[in-house]
Amino acid sequence: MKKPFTFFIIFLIVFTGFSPLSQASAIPYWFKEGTYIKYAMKMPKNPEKNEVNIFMIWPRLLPKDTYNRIKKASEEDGSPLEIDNRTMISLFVRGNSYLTFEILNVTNETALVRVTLEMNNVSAGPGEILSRLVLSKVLHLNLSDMVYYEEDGTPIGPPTCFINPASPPKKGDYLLTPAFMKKYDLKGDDIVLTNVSFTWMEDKILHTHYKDFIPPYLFVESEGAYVIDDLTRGEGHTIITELIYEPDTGVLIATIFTDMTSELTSLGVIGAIALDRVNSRKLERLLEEGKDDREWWAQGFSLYDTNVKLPDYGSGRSPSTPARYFFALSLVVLAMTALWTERRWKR
Amino acid sequence: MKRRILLGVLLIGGLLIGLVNAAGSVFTQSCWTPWDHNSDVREWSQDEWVWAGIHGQVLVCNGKFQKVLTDTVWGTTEGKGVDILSRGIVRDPRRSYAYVRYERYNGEVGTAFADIPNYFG
Repeated sequence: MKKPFTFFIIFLIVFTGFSPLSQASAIPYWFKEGTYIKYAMKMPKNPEKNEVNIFMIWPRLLPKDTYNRIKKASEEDGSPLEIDNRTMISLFVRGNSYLTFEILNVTNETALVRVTLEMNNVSAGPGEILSRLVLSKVLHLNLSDMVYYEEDGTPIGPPTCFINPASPPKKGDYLLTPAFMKKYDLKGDDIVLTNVSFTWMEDKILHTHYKDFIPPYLFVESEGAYVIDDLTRGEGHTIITELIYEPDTGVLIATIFTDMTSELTSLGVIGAIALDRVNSRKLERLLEEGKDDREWWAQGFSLYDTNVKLPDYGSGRSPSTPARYFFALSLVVLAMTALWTERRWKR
Repeated sequence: MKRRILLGVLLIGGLLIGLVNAAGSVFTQSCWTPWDHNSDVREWSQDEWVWAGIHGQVLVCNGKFQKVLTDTVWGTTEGKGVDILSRGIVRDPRRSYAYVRYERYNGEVGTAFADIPNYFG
């Protein structure tokens, strides 16, 4: 009787010893080469006059060729207006926008993450229209401190497409580092988290383009920082970034307003007066019908496609993966002890 | 003969004066700076509304928009009974605009937006 018991105890110690370790690791189990997560912000086919999305772009952050393309488009119609790098460019988007994260390469120390923002039916000024504009960049994610770095070593900020569920972000955490802001002449307040909570829409199903989610949701917000967007006039705007995570996987499933994050700002975005106008219309209908006590539509960027295995709520709520392993292992241990004891009794 | 010369001079003179006048009027009309304004008002009740408005002069030459005279731009970004998350007036010569981002008591968010020249708002 003693032997299987010690065996069981050792097993338990080993397992419980490992479990917090694997939890402490900041890299989620789904984080591997080839993983992609895509979000959409949709525009109806016949948008109303004021259903337009504005992406505020800081020219100093744009890749040269994109900067030149926008510049060329805005000068094509003989407009006397020059685009310079002291003032933000407002892009007016009347089509769908997509934000994509792709994990290209993972080593022990770093991961390469490609971030892409695709905008359709874009105008930089009155008149000229670009049918499609794509901003894309590969970011270096340091896996030990979970911060993106530029090639010259400038830290950008933490990833926002996912968080570590075991140690979620805290109030006061930087969304973008002061070093990064300084490098690109982005003057203003520090951009830090002002609110982290589990109470957002706590009793409602959340509809995204990809699937429905059930509460709780992890809500992360940065509100109120002022950022100068016109160095000549000294004018600026107040930023607000609201991110909603699925707490089991740590995957970002939706945003509300999202002005500045490591990924978006690396692509040049310093403001987004933008919403999913299709989902917003659906939400409006829901509110009119008074059915908003049980469900809600994601109004910002929301999950559109991914190969991350997200929790399936089909038959009640399934436990998260580490817990699932724990149950499976416990069962094995139980079976083994049962076999052992039975054999001893037979003897 | 004299009368003919006089008539000729008068005709040519008239033509010249007419031409100068015409040219002058073309020049004065080629560029002008009309006032433009636009607004977006959302009203759910007397005590729940948002208003984004913008007003300013635009330079138009030969019937074609050139730029917004940004020093003349004024905007309104107001609201009542809603949580205003952020608001702003962007004085951009290509297109100036006013916006209000708000959250209603029920959690729904939205934007009010008005621009000049008024293409979208």
